[in-house]
This record gives sequence, structure tokens and C-alpha cells, in this order.
Amino acid sequence: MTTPAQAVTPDSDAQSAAEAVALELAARDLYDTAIEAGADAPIWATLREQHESYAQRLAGIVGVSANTPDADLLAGLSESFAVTNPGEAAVELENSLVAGHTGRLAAIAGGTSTGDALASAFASIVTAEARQATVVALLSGVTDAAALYVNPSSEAGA
Amino acid sequence: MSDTTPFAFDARLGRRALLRNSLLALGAGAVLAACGDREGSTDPGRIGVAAPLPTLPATGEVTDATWLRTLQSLEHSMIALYAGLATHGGLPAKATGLAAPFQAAHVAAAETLAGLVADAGGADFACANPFFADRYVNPVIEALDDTDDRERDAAQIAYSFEDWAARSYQAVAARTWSDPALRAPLIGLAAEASRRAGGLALTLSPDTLVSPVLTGGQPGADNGFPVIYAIPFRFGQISPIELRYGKPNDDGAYRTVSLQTPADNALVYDSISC
Repeated sequence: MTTPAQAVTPDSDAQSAAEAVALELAARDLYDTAIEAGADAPIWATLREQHESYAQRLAGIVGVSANTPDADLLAGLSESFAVTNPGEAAVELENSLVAGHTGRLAAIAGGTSTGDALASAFASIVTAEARQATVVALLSGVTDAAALYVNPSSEAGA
Repeated sequence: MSDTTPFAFDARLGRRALLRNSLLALGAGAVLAACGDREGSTDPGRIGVAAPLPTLPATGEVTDATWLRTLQSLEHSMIALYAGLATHGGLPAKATGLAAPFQAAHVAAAETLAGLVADAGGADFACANPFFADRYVNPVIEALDDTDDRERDAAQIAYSFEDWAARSYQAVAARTWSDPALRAPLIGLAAEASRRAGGLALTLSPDTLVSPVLTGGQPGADNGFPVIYAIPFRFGQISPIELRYGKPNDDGAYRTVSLQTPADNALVYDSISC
């Protein structure tokens, strides 16, 4: 009996996706920190769920466990999120994730089923997180169009 | 008088002869058909009289430059859309201040794409996409002259088209490119369009922040027009957007157009020029 040939995913793609999974899990945990600190607006619970879904989608594509958040991101932003209105920190987080995933998307060669699935997943996550950054910024009182509609964390503008 | 009349004799022989000759004729016909000329029209058969079917322009090879030219034309379509909105009362009152920065963003995006087209060896295409102009932009702008609610239509049009631009860039950025590095600027443009859609949504409808879709519910509607949410989905979408506009016809139905991400019929092939 023979088994179907499997599309070979370059190690770099799998590694990149695993890093993104850890970052998304850290983002989820940061919103958990805010909710535990008393941030009870529905937007924070929504964003928590969004990031957990992104981690699960990416983990499912490359077949890694979605259970280890990125320790550096958690350590760097936990204090900023431990407040009842983490708006400013959330904007920074969303923009940072968008910039990082943009680089990851550009590094995927494509041409394999897994690579193509990863490209589609990163593209859909980037557009969602960029929108979330702008929505949170508006809710936080930002009015400058340049700050709202262009990513200050990204050279590509994502 | 004979028992076998000439008529009966001829008829008996004629039946046999006819059968034999028919079989011979059929056999000969089959041989001739098998050995005959098989050339001829390959067009499918058509019944009745109708105009010729539309054909795609000469496509040639679809390259990175083809897709970049298409996106450049999409930006010029967006510029034309905002110009059309401006001559029909502009954005709704709540969002008036967004028109200028959004228009400027599309001009900047068109210039970015012009540079990418040149880098990819393509010819500049600094004009609106003919397919999108005929089917998307022009009909909805013209309908503003005769709508039953201009503010509602301006909101639905601006939001839907920004969302469509985001979906288009997202879909195209994820495709396989000869130069994968092109994904970075393209997903950047997707993100910016998505930011504008989110900003418009929150500005136009500040009380509908998160879609019920995210908690297993159904999206809302107001007289059949979709409620605009700041956060409508878990993931960025690439599915078509059903844009409803205009005034109801005699049956109470509004006009709709399905805004779809660029495909073969909307690509700006090398044979197309402004």
C-alpha cells in the first residue's frame, strides 16, 4: 500500500508559522490580562477570541501545537495590558503583529499546498488585525488620519 | 391470368432489393464517413439568431505585471468612485472629513503601484479598470441621481468599495508570484484599505461595533440593507460583496451589484491600454 505524496513545506515556512502561533497566543493572553484587570468592554473579549483563532488556524496548517505563547512579547507588554482600558497598548500590539506577519507572508515561496494555505492565512490575518488596530485606535480617541490608516510599525505600510 | 401479377412480382422483388440496397448504402455511407474529411467548424451549435458571444481580450501571458496593472487600475477606479461621490453630495455627514484623506490614500496607492508595474517591466495603466467602471462604479454613482436615500447609499457605497479593495488586495497578495517579495507592498495596501473600511464603519455606525457573526449569530439588516460593523469577521474575507442601492422598482426590489475580487475578465492584459 502506498500513501499519497505530501507537499513538502520548507522548514523556514513551518518555523515562521510556529513563531506566529506563539505571538498570537501571547496576544490572546495579553487581552486575558486586561480582562482580569477589569477591562470589561466587549471589544477586549472579542480581540482575545480573534487572536486565539489566528493561532489555531496557523497551527493547523503546519501541524504544530498551539499551546506556548511567546514569552518575550508577554513580558514586554503585560504591564501595559494590566489596566481597565488597554487601548494604546492594544494598538501597538495589533500594528506590531501586522508588520511581523507582512514579513512572514513575503517570505513564503508558495507553490506547495501548505505554503499556499499559509499565504492565504497570513493575508487574511493581516487584513483583520490592521482593521482591529484602526478600530481600537478610534475607540481610544486617536484622530490623526496618518496614525489611524497607516501602520507606523511597518516599512511596507501594512 | 397469372397468379403473379406484374405489380405483386415487382413488389416482392422490390422489398428484397430495397433491403439489400439499403444495407449496402448504409455500409458504404459508414465507410465514406469514416474515411472522409473531418475538418469543419468546431463552434458549438446554436439555435436561433443572437448576437455573437462576448470574448475576452487577447490575453497573452498573465504575468506579475498583469496583476499589478490590474491593481493599479483598481486604485484609479476608487479615485473615480470618490470623484463621483463628491459630485453627488459626498460621503454621509458623519464621515465627511474622511473623503479627502481617503482620496489621497488612493492616489498614493496608485503611484505605488505604478512604480511596482514599472519595476516588473509592465506598461503604466493610469486609468480606471474598464470592467469595474462599466459594472461597478458607474452604475452605483449614476443611481445616486435617483435614489430614495442618498445618505444611506453613499454610506453603503463607500464602505463596500473600501472593503472590496481590501478583499481584492488580500486575494491577490496570497497568489503565487514570480517575485514573492511583491506580497509585502500588496498586503500593505490590503491592510490600509481594511483600516479605511474599519474606520468608515465605526464612524458611520458607532453603535454596531462587533458583528453577531463572531458569536454564532446572524448579521443585522435594515430594510434589507446590511448593517455595517467595525469588526465584521474573524478573518479577512475574499468573498463577493452584495451592494444594494438606488430606489425600489415596482416590485419593491432595490438594485444590487456583486463586487468581486479581480479575475480573468477584469485583468488588465498587455493588449489593453488606457
